[in-house]
Amino acid sequence: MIKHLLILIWNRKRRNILLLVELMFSFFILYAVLSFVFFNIDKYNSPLGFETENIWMSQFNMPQDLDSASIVETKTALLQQISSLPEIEEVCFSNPVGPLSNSTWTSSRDDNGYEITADMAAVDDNFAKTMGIKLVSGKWFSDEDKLSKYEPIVINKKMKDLYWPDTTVIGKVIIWQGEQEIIGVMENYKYRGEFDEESNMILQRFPKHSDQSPNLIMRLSESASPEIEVVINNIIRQTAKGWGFSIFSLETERQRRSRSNWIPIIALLSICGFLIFNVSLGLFGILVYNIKKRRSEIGLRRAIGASPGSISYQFIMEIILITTFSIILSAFFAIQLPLMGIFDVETSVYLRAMLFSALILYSLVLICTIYPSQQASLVHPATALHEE
Amino acid sequence: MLINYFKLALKVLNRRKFFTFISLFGISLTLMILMIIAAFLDNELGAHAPVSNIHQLAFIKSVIKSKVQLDTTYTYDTTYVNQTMVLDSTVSTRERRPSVSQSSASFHLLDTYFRDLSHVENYTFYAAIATFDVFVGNKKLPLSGIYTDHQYWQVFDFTFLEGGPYLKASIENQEQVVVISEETRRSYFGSDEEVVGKNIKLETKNYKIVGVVKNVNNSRSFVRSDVYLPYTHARSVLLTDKDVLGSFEGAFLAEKKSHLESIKSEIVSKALRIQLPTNDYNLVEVEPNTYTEGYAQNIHYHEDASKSEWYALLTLGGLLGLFILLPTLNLINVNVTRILERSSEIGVRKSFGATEGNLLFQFVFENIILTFLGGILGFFLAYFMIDLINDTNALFEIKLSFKTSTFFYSFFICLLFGIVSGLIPAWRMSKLNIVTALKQS
Repeated sequence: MIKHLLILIWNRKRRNILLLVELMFSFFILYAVLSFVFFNIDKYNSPLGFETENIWMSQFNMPQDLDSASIVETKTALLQQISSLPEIEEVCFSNPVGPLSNSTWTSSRDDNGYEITADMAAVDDNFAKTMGIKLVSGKWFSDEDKLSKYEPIVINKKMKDLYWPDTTVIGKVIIWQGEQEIIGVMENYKYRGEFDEESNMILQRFPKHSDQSPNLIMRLSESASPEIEVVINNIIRQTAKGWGFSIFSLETERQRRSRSNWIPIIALLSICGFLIFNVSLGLFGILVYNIKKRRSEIGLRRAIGASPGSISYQFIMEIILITTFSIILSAFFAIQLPLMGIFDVETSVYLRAMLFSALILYSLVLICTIYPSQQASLVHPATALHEE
Repeated sequence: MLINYFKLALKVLNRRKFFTFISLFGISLTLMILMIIAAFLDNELGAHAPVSNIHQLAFIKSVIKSKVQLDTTYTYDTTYVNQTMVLDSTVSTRERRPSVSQSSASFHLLDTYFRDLSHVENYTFYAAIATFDVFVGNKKLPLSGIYTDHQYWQVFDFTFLEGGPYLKASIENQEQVVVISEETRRSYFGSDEEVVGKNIKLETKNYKIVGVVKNVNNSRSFVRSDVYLPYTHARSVLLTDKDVLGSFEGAFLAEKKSHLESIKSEIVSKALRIQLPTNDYNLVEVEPNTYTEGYAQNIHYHEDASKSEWYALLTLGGLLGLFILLPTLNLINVNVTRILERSSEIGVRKSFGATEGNLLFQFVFENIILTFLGGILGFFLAYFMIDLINDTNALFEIKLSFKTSTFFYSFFICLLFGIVSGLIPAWRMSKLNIVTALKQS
């Protein structure tokens, strides 16, 4: 049967080659767009690891001529005044590498006998509570850590799974900024935003009023009114005289960042959707016309005993065979992308994109053939042959 | 004769409404999307105020300082040669960079090393880092600010709605003067009335407004801002710090476009010769970029900026090519089918002496008319979409605008589209044998 269909396709090769090329290009477009979308969605799908709702951050620019004692004094006063507001649930400080704050700090060392690369940030004891960070194991920084032999650090699960997958790491001492002890593992921490790949993360403990942590993070209660911003602004202005600062909402910042990533995804998907719709309209028109042209052939087959079902089957199989050819051909080119490794993208992204492109193409072609092939099966042998 | 062809074309379009719909739908939406892309690219990469000389500029945006060490590894191994044990050692060295820091340049670095580059007509140092929370009544108005020198206003050709830039003297005297954007004037003062001479309060200081500039409608962060202030108002640490990393960027206007490469390599080699005072870091690398290279690096980062540009071009070109090819193929397919219906007409015309060329011309002409109908539709659709994109702030600060050049691009694309998608079917049909053509009906 298939052999026979192949002969039929071959007989109409000039027409079918155009169809084949068109389907191939549809595959390429779907493949390119889906790869891009999967690549981004994969990153988006892993959790952010902290909360942004009702959390506000103030970044300070401290004047250079201050001594650390007066900075500590100002910070203590700030902390005390702000946390006394009823709308404030939690307050903490972090170094410039705060969540969603545009700074990064990466380092690598091979003093442990193997190379460790990680991003770092320094935060205080209240950070986990303020940001809603969840721990997989171990505990968060606390006052007890003052007494411990090594400086404590908290790492993320990704880092644990990469370097020490089979052992417990709680209590492990590594050489990083000197000898440091891992006291906790947190679930996720994508501090650069939802669309960023999570990096290995090491959080270090900052003493509460250190002079080097210019980010003030505040968690507001859900009932807080917008006017609270003016109040906080006034407190900071009066307490930290001469410091530059700006307050922003982490939720707004998260939305802004995620929107700028969604725009190209949505734009590409809609362009792709339009193209595919366009192609399927054309395909439908051509198939309807082709089947009209082959009425005599259908009439003859019906006259010598073919059932209406087998006529439908013939047309559907013909187009499916052509689609299969074009998918095999274009998959050959498409597979070159992961093989040559031009872009820094996981192979699974490409494979999924290919699979979905093929599925979409098949279902599209099927939808476009159902109506024309049904029309074909309805052809009455007598009328069809009479026309001839 | 052309009028006849025209009438005939309209008749044919009217005859098979479904096919006409498919063709027009495809053509108009394709052209709409192409026009929007053209408008976007022109807006982002084209030369227009305040950066009319964008293709003559080199930027220093990023500086890397690193500690470079040579690691020597000895590997001892024993092997048996002729049954006696021999010590076999290998030595390998590799370059290691245990610490690398990357940031914008410091004022100190730019000021000391990059003031006297050859072939540079003018240059400016600026820091687009300021943010001010200003309160108008009880409402917060977050303003972004750029600290600039006086050459900034010469290198970039801002359009002043009122007033003018601050001069060298005002900067040196630390006068509290500021240039604001049209948008800031509206949001801070609540109207479009003249405000030069009035004050605006940033942090705790009052600044006198000396000029108002037109808004910048693209993503160029080095000119897009709510307020512009003399750099002497930046925190003193930013100006005095002797580190090479900081918050400043530099833009260098080449005398001629062809000088850009030599300016870039001069910057690179000057940076490599910088001796750092501390032992923590021993290498400074500056990566100067043209605007397009920097833009490409944001899309696909590669250390070599020109490679980045090439990748971006390849990706964009490939996608655009695919994008145009697919509707064209679809149109060709539809046209081939459509034209077959007219075999009797072709047979008759041929038997009365029409040449292949005549028929070819007629069919291509018909197709061009079809694409232009679609083009006009697409033009209005694009206009509507661009309005929609601007109104909904879908692209944030980027506001697209329709330019005459965009219109001409589109006109050209239309023509090409019409000819390409019409030629193959027309050529096939014009070759048709008279007898078969007549018999087919």
